[in-house]
Amino acid sequence: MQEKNTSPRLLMLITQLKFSEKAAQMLRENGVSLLLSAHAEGTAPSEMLDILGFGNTEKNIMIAAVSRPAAGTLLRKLHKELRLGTANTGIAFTLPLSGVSKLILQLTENQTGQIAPERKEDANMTESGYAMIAAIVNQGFSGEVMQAARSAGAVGGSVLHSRGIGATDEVNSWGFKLQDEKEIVIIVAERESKLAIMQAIGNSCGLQSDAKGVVVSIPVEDALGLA
Amino acid sequence: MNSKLRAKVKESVMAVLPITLIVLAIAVFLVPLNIASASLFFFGAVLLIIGMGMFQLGAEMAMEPLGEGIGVEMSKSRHLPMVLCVGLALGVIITVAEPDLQVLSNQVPGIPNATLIWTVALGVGIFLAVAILRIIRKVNLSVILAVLYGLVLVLSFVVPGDFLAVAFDSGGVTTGPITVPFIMALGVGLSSIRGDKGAAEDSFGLVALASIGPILSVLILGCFYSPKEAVYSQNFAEKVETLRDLVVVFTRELPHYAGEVALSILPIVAVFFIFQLYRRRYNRRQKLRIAVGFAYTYVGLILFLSGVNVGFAPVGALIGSGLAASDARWLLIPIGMLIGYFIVKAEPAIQILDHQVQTVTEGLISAKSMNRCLSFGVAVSVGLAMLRILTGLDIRWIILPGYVLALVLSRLVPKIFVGIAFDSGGVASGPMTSTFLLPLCIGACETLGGNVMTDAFGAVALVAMTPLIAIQIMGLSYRVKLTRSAKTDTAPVMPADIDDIVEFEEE
Repeated sequence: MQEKNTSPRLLMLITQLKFSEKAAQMLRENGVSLLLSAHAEGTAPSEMLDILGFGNTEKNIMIAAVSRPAAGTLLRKLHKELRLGTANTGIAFTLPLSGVSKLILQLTENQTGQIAPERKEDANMTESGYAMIAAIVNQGFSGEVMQAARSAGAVGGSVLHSRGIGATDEVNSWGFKLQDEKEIVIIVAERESKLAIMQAIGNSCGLQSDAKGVVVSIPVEDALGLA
Repeated sequence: MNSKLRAKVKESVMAVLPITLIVLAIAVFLVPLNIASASLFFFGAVLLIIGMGMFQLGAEMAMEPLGEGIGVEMSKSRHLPMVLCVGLALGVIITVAEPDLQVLSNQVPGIPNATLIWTVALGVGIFLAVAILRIIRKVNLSVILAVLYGLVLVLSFVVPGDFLAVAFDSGGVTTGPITVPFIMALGVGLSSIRGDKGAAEDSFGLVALASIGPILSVLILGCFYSPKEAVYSQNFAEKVETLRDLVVVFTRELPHYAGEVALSILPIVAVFFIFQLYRRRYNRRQKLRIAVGFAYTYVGLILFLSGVNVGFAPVGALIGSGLAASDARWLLIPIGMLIGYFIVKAEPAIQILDHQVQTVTEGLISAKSMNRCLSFGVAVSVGLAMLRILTGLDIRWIILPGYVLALVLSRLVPKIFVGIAFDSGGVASGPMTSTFLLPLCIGACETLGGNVMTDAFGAVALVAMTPLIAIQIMGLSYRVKLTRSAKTDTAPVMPADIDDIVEFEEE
């Protein structure tokens, strides 16, 4: 079962809170079932603003699986009808998947029937010029990550709070499994500056620092609201 | 403008504006206010808006990371007695300096002030430790609540009636705007690094238990001291004729509240220093953020409290007595309900609760539905409070069935709603209730010639009780909805190979 043209894409939306509901509604109307939704924080534009408390904004990250033809149409529709991608709204992008459960494949197969596979280039949509960088660091270091990333040309990012799972489960004396608090910083950047940003994060927040960070990147296929 | 700043300004305007407009409408159509009180009121409303915004921002930057941090470190600890001692100490420290507790102690003259304050503080401390122990030992929250409220109900028949209303009020009063964000964040922290299923619902319930502490301790004191009388002090509208008078009034009040708020915030600042000294949890940037957050909280609360005490309290009393003196005194009930509906939004700690509920439940229970539910709850409670003023109904007739209903509901609704509901009781009865709603009730009661101690007091207790029922009803309807959809949605027949993995060639 290896049909290249039916390989689904992961659609990620990082939006301001008030847009997330509208966007979710639009995805539902277009037959896309949302897989995940999580709260995130937008990072502060500068350290000073962060300390003064005017930096971080609330955001929502939504993830859905869509068929490849549907992805382009959806992005364009999000831009046209919700003005997603303009200032103070949010961004959206798709990532390729290399394997999925069969259920997801079936869900996305239906989408091609509903959405005409028109794939024309749009001025607001850029193809393949971007990569998603994810830095996983200890609690409290997302500010440092962004500072390093900015020095290498990144514009902004989002922070997800999560828990780390080690090689062994740490259980406290009253029997709860304990997991370290981690922060995941997601930055979408141009491919040319990707390496520099990752290296900058690695230098200041790598495993040798207190942040104990690791950095990965995933190629972005289509993007909306960048540049 | 910076988008964060804009969001905060909008939030606090939306919180304070409705109640301001309602009072304006009442002043125009029903109870004429003189220009002096009106100008104090509007200046107070402006201070309220600014203060509210700063307080919210400050609590988010300082109280939340601190409370969460202490909670996280507690659950990492392997030393149970130590954790419980810290919980006890925290409860005592943050309560003993609460300005509302000073006011309460003056209202109960039969008991020495220091005795009352330390007993209540110890009550909060013990129950905070109990709440932590409950989470650790995985005891069902509704069981503990049933036992403790059962005890409260039994004691309520032993103490004199005059005293009862004040005792119930103390539960709502002592969990003030500084303690609530801190204790709530503590709960989130305690469960945030756990990977098990009960983590989300265990985030709540701390404020719930912490506000039973004061009720029980005041009731127990009441048994020993058998106080005969209780008095109250009340604000009257200042004589304001010129703009200069207005400025004079506020410049006199601001330093007063500056001292009061400093007293209540300093213990938490001290907790922060000791905690950071021992655990070194926060890096440089976080420390600076928390310091700035404390400053915001401090200034914000000063502005808020001066605004509400100087601007709102006298107007509350005037409206209360004005309505009671009019022919249509039954208007007290619908107007009280209207005020109740909008007053919750202006309670500083409510937005923080809503926000935390929305975050912990990942949007399942939205801030909007929390707000609406609390508004309905408080509207009913103010209506009941006015009914008591008009009829002199004994508070036991409302409180007892109310708590029984709340406890019965707590066995039926999903667990997370129990914690949220009993928490919101302590949160809904904040400074707005005690400085605007209470004078409103006292004003009405005095004009009607009722007994202020038994009829007007108790309003806070009602505001603290109805959210328990309102939020649990929301939980009940949520559960009904779930079971109904589970019944109608016959699960689609899944092909057997649904979990097979399909792989694609790397492009």
